[in-house]
Amino acid sequence: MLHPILSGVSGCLALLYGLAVLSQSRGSMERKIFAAFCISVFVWLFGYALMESAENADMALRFARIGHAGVIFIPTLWMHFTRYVLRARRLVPLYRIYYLIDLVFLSLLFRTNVFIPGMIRHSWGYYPIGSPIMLAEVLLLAIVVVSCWGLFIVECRKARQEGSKEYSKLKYCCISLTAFSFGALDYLPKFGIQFYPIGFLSSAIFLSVVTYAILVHRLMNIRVVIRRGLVYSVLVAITASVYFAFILVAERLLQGVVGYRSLVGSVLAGFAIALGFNPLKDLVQRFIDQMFFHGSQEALAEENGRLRHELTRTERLKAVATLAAGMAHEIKNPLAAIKTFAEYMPDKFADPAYREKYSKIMGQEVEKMNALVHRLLEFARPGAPRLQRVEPAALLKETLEFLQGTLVEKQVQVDLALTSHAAVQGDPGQLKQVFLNLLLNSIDAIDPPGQLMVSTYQENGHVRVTITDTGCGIAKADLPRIFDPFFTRKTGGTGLGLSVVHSIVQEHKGRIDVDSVLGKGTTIQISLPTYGGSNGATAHSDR
Amino acid sequence: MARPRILIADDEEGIRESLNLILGDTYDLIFAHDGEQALEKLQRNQVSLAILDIKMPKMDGLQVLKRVREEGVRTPVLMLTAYQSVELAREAVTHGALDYLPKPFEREQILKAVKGIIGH
Repeated sequence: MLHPILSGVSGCLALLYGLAVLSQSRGSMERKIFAAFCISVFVWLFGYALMESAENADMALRFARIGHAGVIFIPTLWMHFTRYVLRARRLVPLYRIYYLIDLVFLSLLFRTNVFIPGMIRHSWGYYPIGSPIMLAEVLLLAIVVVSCWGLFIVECRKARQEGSKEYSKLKYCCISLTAFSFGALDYLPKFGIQFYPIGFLSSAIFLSVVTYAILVHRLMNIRVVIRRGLVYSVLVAITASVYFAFILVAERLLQGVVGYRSLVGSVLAGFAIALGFNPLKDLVQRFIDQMFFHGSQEALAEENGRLRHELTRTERLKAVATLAAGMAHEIKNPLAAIKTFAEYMPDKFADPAYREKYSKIMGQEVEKMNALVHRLLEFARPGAPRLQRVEPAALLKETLEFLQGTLVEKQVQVDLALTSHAAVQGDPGQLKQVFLNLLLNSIDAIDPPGQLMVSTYQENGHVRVTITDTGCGIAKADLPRIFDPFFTRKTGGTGLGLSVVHSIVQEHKGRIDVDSVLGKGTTIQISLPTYGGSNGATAHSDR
Repeated sequence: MARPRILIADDEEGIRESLNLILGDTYDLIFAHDGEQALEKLQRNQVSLAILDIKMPKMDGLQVLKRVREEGVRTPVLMLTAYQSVELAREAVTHGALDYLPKPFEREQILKAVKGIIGH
């Protein structure tokens, strides 16, 4: 009696996994096919459970046919699934042939007695008698298991060598396929060998592992569903086993002694289960967490961390390469001048005009290189900002005053709309530099006369500073690159201004957005979190 | 006999003064601080050679070269370039510049290139 129940539970587990994967398939063929596979396993195990517990051979045969209809499609669907997981196109003709054979098998199964000639009663219940066609079926299954297993092993090794994130998923597929192969032992009793069918167990292990691999290594949000499903399936299996063991003992031992009635045994079993259910649930939960989820979560976090680190390093290397190239370019002008003047020193030293120019040019060129080094350092390491309470509006005013001369010279009219005087947590020196760089860029972009709109306002716990100019604008293709170091379209520009702005804003946990129309102008918006978070900020709110 | 005239166009004072040191004793030099000035001076003056920096404000050396060639001015042109604009300099040669000189340059390199073009 126990075996059909375990088979049935295992079958329901397969159905549950299949539906979980299907609900999250998002159009993925791989998942849809896996769901179909799960449903086949469900048909097999559930049909066989009914067959084993059938009252007579006729009814058992009917259920055997239904159950075996599931068995027929299992190898083919597994191969189809492998084709999508491994993107193995060469499997396509093979599984198409298999589907055709499956259809032939299916019609033989339901229309004739060639497939299942009859039923035999074993200790665990009714079981089908084997046939030559069933032998052919075993052969086809063996081909699938061996070929797919080989393919998975090869891909798994490749993924491991390449350090691919697919590795874990493939590893689980290999393990589970090995476990599933043991299910083929269920054919033995069909051919007269007394072997207790363990297909339900191997399929439960197999499905748990593969479903886990699919969902956890691709998709995190379904984990809870699966974890609960797993816990409760194991619980149902354990409690059902306890219940039936209890009934069995009661039937055999107690009946003769105390005039046992089934009802008493059931009530006692119910008590035992009620008392043991919660501690058992915790135990199973802990066990499953440890076995499948906890360790893997850490491994996954580690993997994510490694990938992030790699990405950061690549980005930094790219930036360093750009910096080096830009630096070489910027430094060659002063170098050319210094070199020439040094070359002429022995001949021209007596010439006062030369000496005058020498001291002027040398000083100038060295200062240029010094400034370049400073800007580079600012970019590479803006340093942790010395945070204090600062008002962006006040900093903007100061910066604009500093630029008064340039604004007049370039005939730039400034419209100020500082509607928020809220404070932010920031380094005043660095923020002033941000505003200076942005304002200078805007002024440079303007072909005189022009306009500059500077505004501040407060929104969602942030102070937003907007600088809009009527300058030449930025080409759409250039927009993604404007924060790259040394990227410039300005003649005489170093390409460091905006990258410095970007790194400072990031250091201040702020954000910078650029909107530009070529020939019309540019709007740059900087958002900085208000001082003391969204609540504290309102204390110094809009005027 | 009048000294050959050379136009030197570079926005960097250091470079202009360096070329002045190298060539000033032998040639008559006129200077431009940016591309527009260079174009204007090339249109107005008879020069034996123009040395144009590639990276200049308002109009880069390559644009100046293309413009004067379009206008039929056949003045020999030498381009000056720093590291990143080697590709541009090559393009300049295809547009009719005679050569390009990388920065930082050698005194002898400049003298040789200029003598090679002007002839003395």
